[in-house]
Amino acid sequence: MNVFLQLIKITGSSVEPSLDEKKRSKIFGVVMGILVTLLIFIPVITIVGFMVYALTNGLATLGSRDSVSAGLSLMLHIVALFSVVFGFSVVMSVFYFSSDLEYLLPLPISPMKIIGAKLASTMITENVMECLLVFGALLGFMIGYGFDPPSGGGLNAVSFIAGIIGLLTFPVVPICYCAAICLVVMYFSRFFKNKDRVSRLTAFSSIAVLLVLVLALNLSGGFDTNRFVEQLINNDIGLVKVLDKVFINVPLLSKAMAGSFVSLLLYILVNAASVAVVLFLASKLYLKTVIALGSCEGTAKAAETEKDYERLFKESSQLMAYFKKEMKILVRTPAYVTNCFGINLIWPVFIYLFVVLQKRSNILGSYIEKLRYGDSEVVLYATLLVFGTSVILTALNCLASSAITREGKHFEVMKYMPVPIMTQLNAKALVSIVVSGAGLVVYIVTAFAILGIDFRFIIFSVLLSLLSVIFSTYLGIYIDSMNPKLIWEDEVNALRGNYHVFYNMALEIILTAVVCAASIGLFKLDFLPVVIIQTLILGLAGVLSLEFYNLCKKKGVENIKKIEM
Amino acid sequence: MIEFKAVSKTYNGKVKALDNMNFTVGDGELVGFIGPNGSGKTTTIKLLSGVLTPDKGTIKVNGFDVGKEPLKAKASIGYIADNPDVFLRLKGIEFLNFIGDVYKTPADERRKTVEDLAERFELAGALNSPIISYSHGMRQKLMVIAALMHKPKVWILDEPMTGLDPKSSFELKALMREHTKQGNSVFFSTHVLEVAEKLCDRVVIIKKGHKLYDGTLAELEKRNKDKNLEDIFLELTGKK
Repeated sequence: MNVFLQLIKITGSSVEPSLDEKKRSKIFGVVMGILVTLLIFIPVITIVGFMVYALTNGLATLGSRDSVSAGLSLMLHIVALFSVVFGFSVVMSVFYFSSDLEYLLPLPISPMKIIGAKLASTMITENVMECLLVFGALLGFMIGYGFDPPSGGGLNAVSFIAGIIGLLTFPVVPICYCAAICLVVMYFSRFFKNKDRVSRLTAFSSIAVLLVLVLALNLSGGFDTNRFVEQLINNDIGLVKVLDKVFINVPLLSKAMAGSFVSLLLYILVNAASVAVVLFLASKLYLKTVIALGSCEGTAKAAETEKDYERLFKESSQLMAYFKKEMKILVRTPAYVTNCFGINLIWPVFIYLFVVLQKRSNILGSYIEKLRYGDSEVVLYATLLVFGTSVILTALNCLASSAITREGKHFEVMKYMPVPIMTQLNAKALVSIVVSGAGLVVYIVTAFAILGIDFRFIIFSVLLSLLSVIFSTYLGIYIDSMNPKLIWEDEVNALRGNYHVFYNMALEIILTAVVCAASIGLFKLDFLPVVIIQTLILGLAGVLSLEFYNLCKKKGVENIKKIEM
Repeated sequence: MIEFKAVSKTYNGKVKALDNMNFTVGDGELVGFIGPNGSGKTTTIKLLSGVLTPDKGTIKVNGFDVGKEPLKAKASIGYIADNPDVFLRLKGIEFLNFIGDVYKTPADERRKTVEDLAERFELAGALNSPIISYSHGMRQKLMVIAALMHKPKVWILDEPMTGLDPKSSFELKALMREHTKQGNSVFFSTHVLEVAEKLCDRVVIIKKGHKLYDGTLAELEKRNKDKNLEDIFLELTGKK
């Protein structure tokens, strides 16, 4: 096999399940794959597709042929931005921190080939979710633009070829940006030449970039759809103008989708040039930076005083010892900070965006007013919102659904320690409950208190949220115990190559949908008053917590005992 | 005391790693476990420590059946795995304290042992640093201290000398001897025949999951006059 292809296989091996894992997960994987496709992938494609379709349709009616792809460009810019935000930690991890480096670097392989292979495997890792978003956007554009739009022109053969090429190559430019910036920064700054410092900085920068972007949107005055479309037609949105220059691949792909052959050629050229720049930088900078990178920060001070020793040798129970160990590893591992903790910081940003976007229509205002005065219907909706948010966000931060996977090569420690497996699982559950629960409780109490909601409803919401977090956590841990992905090269791959977060989310979405449908049905048909429905939901969360705890205790423990590495 | 009776282990129902293996390690005995690569040494040690489950047979450590009373059996073992790269994000002292909590070692006792062993292995100055900053040898020393902190009756060590500097290797050998003199058992795997020759009361030699020899090295040399230990081992394992 060609050396380059072999390198891609080696560097990407951490996202491939082992034969044994494949065997264990076959039926489970097929069933969950169908559920994930139906409940997550298709809805994501539909939502993104519909947004682009609506914008394209509007622009095709109102604007000229030139501006018809502005909606597609906007969506692709958002995807590209997120690729860069999350791409930095992946690139740093794959380029500089993966354990295959100690075997690859001594081999007589050029740095260009190593980086080429690593770049390819990074794109494959990044492409799964990105592919869905890009597919949704392209599909929405194609339906919206059609073959005979009011603005003239329409889809042609170039559009279809551009669609296929765009779908496969869209992450190239964003990832090349991350790669080029990482290579240059690592070369020029001595400060960064330390794995831990670099990782920490990457994690915090990603979150900071996201927050800055939200501020850059400058939507404090609210969102006006008509004005927005008008600005799109005139290419008069400041952020989009800047992004058009940063991600030049986006307007080119959009124009190619609208049928421009020249744009398609330029798009291919831009992608090839991006890769060439990264490979050139790699040939000059990579080896120097990767070899100079120290494994971690300098030696800390040894314990000296009696007080130091008392603090260091403090007794804890087995459960607390495991809990503290888990928390320390989580907060000290940048990939976990970004993916497990970061998500708790990001979702309120989206809520903020939603609040800002609806400012002019003020839909929320009337609901909040009704909630304040105890309107039964709104109280029910708020209850369901607390339930659904708690359940889905606990699944989304993947603390539970990667609990066993995170052990990786340390998995056998779980087996030889004289600690019951269930105690270890409880410690892992406690981590998820504390992190997810604390975040949710703080947000719920703060938001409801600011809005002036009755304190009894706040207490009820906190209780419901915590119970929902508990059962979602134990369900996540059980799913992970069925087929943990224990072979990975670095922590990013432990999370990115792990589909349990999708499985857990799919199940939580089904459950939330059933609870919402049943509750609204019972309320609308006047079967039960809202207080009883609320009590039933709380009871259900309690029962599910107990049931999923028992499932972990019986089947989860059994699953772990069966795993042999 | 270790009892390993009629134990068989197959991986994925295909690869037979151990076939009807028997041996014992008595109280006060220091037994070396020798065999070529892939002979089943690590499998045996993982079965003893409860990491793997046997297909057949019984394993008892300190009188506790590893299958039936796993927690009691594990609590009486001091185990050093073949890979010391464990929980690298923790500081050395945090790892030792975690192990102390897991094995329920009282704080004053764990402090005394850690201070004593860290001094012997020259690791005291590094304990407050993250394990990720340690060299392979330092990590191995940390694993040794962690394994011995709860004063286990039985030591099970997989290639414990790997990566240790001569002084630390000497210290570990001395500790192993001290431990057996107190009536405890030590079972360790090694590739270094000289270590086994100088240290062990008895050796168990295996190949492809079968026991080839169980006895003293002196007996083995007596049976094969005019041959050195290396030649005897190579002949026994079919490499010569």
